[in-house]
Amino acid sequence: MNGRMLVVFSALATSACAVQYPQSAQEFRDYVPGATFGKKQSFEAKRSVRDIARTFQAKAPECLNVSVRTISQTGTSYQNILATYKPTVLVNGEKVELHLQRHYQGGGIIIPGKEPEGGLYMLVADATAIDRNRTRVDLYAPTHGADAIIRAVTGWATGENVGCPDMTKN
Amino acid sequence: MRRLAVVLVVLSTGCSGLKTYPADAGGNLAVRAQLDGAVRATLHVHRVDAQCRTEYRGSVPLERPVALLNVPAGETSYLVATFDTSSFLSGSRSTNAGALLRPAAGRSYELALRYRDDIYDVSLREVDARGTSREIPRRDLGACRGS
Repeated sequence: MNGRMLVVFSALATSACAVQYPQSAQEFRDYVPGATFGKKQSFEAKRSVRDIARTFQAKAPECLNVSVRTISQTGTSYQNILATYKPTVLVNGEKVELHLQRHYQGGGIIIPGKEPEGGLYMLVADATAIDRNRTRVDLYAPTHGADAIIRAVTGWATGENVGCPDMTKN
Repeated sequence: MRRLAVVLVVLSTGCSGLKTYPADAGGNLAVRAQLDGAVRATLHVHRVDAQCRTEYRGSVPLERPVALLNVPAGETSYLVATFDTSSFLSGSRSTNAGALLRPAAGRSYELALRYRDDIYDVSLREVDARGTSREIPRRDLGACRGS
């Protein structure tokens, strides 16, 4: 999702006068299911929540702690945008959470509202133990522009693919 | 260390400035690449000194399934794989993944690069003289600076 789409996504998702971005992972969870460009997906992983926590703790810093610079140039314009991603993994007993935030710099990107520290929330994944070997995973994410991240996080949860998403494809 | 990937929506062509790292049959590092058809991969080799400063040694375009490189034993090298994609609508995109390697004498190494459906994986294995293989956790340059 590029900067322009981010602004559109945010503007449509909030009222025209007062843009209220989710300021926490919980606010993002509450916001996404009713958003035009947001979706919640749920699935069951046949792994323990502990294994999923270990994978999230290993892969999130390796794959998501990145910056992506986008340079676009036409005959009359030049834009240079730096997107900085911040992953956070929280492990709390039988639940593990993965939060991903994104902060834009440069390129005339305007965030018309208060941005939480670390950037706007882009994805939240919750893994909750069902029993010793099964875990429910809830993914909150935009409908467009996060496909590679969603597939990667799904692969980390199921253990079927532990590759990194190409963050330039968001 | 935070990695930087680059999207160039419009990229001017020009000299790449890359020098070729020698790839030959006598190498101790086998680089295997499995890539989607539209993806080009290149391996860049840097020498790393005791202060974790890097010195660029050369690059190998991974145009064949396996490339053999000789990476000096007893020295730390930083191997950076770049995956480049390009399309008319989305421009040129490049993402990279680095791995520190300090080869031991008498051992060989395998670097496997995979890129499929916008997901990539880089893994490194060490093979001893008896053929026993073990995975080496991938550490980027930040691990050197943090140690």
